Amino acid sequence: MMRAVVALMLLVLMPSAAHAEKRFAILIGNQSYDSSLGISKNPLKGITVVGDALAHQG
Amino acid sequence: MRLRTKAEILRPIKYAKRSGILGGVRDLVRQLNAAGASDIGFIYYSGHGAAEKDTNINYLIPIDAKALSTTAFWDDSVKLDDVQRLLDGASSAAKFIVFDACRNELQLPTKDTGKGLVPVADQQGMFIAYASAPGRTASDKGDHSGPYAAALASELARLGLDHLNLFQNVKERCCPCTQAVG
Repeated sequence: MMRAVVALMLLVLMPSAAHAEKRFAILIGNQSYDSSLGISKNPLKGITVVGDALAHQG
Repeated sequence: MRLRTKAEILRPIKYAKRSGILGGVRDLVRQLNAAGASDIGFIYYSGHGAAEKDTNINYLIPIDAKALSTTAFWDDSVKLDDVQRLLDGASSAAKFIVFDACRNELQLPTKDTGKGLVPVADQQGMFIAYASAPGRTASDKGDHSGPYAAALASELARLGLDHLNLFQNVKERCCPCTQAVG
């Protein structure tokens, strides 16, 4: 199964001269939950650093 | 692997409720289908996540989630399966889901809750990367972001890696800081 997935991904990801690939990303950061769920303070920073890395590579 | 090249960020989604999470995924599918074949969709989720013990279903926890003791907690949350099913609608694209969830600050007092996420079989054309091993929590420590986000960002900035190497490197960078095993 994994091998099939990898093979498919390689095919799909193979660069094509005829078609300029486009890449789209959504970034979801959730923090400031109800205190009964516990505090997490880094998700918004996380979507910023990952978003910057995705957007500024060329 | 072309993931590390420039991607268009549709919009950052913050403090998302259930409809905000699913709406973001729908937007991504719409963009991918409008763009045409052999495109790439990338979802990065950072927030609370959990697996329901009785059903082994993985969930993204919306920002307005309340008490864990109610079944409504699960019904109001977002199944990872549902995210995957929506993404299947973009049938010609390669899809990546990065699940930086199960933060170790998450308090789960009820006994029917498996802290962390259970493994999901990868679907065709879809690759799911987890910040934590099954049933484990992911670290939320770090000055600027959690360690998984920091490791992912620096690996995305490197050239010449295919996606399997990229996510493997992220795991290796990240693991000393998290409680993940294996």
